[in-house]
Amino acid sequence: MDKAAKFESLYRQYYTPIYKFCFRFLNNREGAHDVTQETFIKFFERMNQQGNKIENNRAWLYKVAGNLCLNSLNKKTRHSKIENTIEIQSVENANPENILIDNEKSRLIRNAIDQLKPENRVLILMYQDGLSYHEMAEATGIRVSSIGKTLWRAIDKISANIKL
Amino acid sequence: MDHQLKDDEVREVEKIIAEDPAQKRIFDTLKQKRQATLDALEFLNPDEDIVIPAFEPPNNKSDKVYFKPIIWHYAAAAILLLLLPLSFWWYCADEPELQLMEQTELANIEKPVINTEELDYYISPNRCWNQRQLLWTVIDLND
Repeated sequence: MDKAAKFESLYRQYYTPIYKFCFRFLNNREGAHDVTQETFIKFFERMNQQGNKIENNRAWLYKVAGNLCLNSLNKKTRHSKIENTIEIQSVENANPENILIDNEKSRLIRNAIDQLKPENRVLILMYQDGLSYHEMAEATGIRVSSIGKTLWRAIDKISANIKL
Repeated sequence: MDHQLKDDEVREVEKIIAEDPAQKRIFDTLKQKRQATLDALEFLNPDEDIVIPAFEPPNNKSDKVYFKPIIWHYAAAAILLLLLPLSFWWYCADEPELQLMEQTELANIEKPVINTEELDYYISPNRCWNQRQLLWTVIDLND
């Protein structure tokens, strides 16, 4: 398979999970779209560079997307905190009461996630997408042996914050 | 903790849970928390169907284009490094009178005259040992 076809296949395979990952992280459609595009542009460039082989495509994509999300978030917090709005609204639940409940719930969850350290936030979102411990270690730079413990702390903190 | 475990590890965990009810309670609590967290996180996913846009590759990004700027950067840096000493050498070679002038100027600088009478101050003990040493040397030389 030539490079272009391989890239196209990986793009189709990973676009949606990476977009969802960015969306959950940034809570912003445009931001998530931009970061996803940038991630794949970097991936494309990396694939075209000679002598730069990516061992695990999924881990690499999540790593780059995570870093870009963090950068984007830092820029956003530096420039303005006003944009920090909850975007999630169920299209199907058109009932205003349901929308309010959903928004309240998502606010609660987002607040719980925001209380985590950025690297732990990345980790828990990767875990949600089913990355293996090795992939998470590769993407975050945390040792494989520490991933389980770090993850559990994050899960514990989130579940405590959302009062489950 | 979850699907990350291998088959033999799963069997081992199941065995521990089966043997010890306290362990089972802890395990169930963890499982519940984990599932609730994942459900909560799932709630943050976008609702709409995600349409994958066509990928637009960046223009002028090929292997050659990548390679060329790097080569030119190195070449420019090397030329600059070569030009610096060369320009200095050319500047000095083109103006020998300048070098001569510098030498004569150096020669014309008056050598300091040490007046031993003014150095009495330094003879005092507990002060200026180095200068005293200098004074004695000057006196010795004068003698």
